[in-house]
Amino acid sequence: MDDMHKTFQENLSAYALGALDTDEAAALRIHLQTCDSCRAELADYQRVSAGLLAALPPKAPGPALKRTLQKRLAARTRPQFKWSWSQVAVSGAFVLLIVLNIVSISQVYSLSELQAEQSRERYAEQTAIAMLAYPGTQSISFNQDGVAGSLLVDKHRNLLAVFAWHLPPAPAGKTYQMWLIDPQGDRTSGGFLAPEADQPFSMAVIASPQPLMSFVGLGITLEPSGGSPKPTGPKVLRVDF
Amino acid sequence: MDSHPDDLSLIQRVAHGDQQAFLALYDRYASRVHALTLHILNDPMLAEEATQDTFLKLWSRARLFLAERGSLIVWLLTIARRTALDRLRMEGRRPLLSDSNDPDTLWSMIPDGSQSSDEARWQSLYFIVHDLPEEQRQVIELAYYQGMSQSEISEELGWPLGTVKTRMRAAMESLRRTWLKDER
Repeated sequence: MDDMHKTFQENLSAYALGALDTDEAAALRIHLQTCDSCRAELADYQRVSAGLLAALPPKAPGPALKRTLQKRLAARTRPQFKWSWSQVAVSGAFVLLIVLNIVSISQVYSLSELQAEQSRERYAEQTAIAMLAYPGTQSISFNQDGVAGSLLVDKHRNLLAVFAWHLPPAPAGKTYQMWLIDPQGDRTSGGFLAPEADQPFSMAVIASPQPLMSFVGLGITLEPSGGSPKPTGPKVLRVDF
Repeated sequence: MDSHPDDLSLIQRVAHGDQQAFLALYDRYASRVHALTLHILNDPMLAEEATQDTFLKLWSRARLFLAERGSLIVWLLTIARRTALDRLRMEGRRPLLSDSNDPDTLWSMIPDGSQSSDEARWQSLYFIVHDLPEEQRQVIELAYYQGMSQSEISEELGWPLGTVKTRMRAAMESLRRTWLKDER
């Protein structure tokens, strides 16, 4: 145990610099959960690494950069307006529904389903955008068998977003199922990834039921529609994080 | 109105779309952001692009800034570092970043950059880094400013992995001991 502790302690400074190899960093993170002295020592090293960001002599960019930024800001639409329009559209749909009052129960049901689906999609998109915008999110690229994309991993909020480009539609009666993989190789379902026919990429957000730190990777398999309790179909891809 | 508003009030105004507040932050920190991106990318054109991207991220992410987590300058420089390292990888000049650093923790480590005493502290760290033995400074440079893991540094420099680890540890311990001693 003392030897293990010493090894972890020796890795603290490299961890603070972001220079530990992935497997060592993962092991250290687990150790840090239970070791007060290592956490305290790491805090010191992190103060140093934070200081290194600001320790370079200031160097002004060219004056044109400020003008460029001013122009770009003037041309930019702030993100919240996009959502406002979407909300207006959904609200409008409801108003229309009430005014007309001739819509059958089945139509209402269908619309509710559609709206719930849109709401879920919008939530996933907002979450993914928020993760992209968050400096702590780890981004991992992949390119396997013609499917390329990125995994966004936020281990503090136990969120994971998958962007996969050129994933073909699942065959009839099949679905793409995502799996969180733990160090023992056991899989926990992370839901489904459904490619849309009209867009070249698929996106899904997984809110992990357990701390994301307890998993080491994400897998996708092709499963019967409705999914499986454990993977049974062919592997589509695997990305370690 | 306060002629020298603090970072927090400026970033709160930026979060509400105030371009003047944004430009005030730009004037205050552009030189620091640009120094970092230029150091990482070593290319004036790429560095200006990364600086621009960093400030555009500041504009779009301002509402995500949490004052209780730490200072604005370290948050901004953390974004700048990642932006520049991403650009470095995009240019194919470095392998995938294996960065396990947690910016949330990191940016709570340094106080407000608008205070002159902090300027002096950062300047002192710069000189302490430059006083390190060359081989120790080299591993800090490659790890932190080039986004390389210890294994990648070992491969890059042709040093045994154990040597890289020892030199990195010695460098960081030296910085820790020397730079933080005044606060104890």
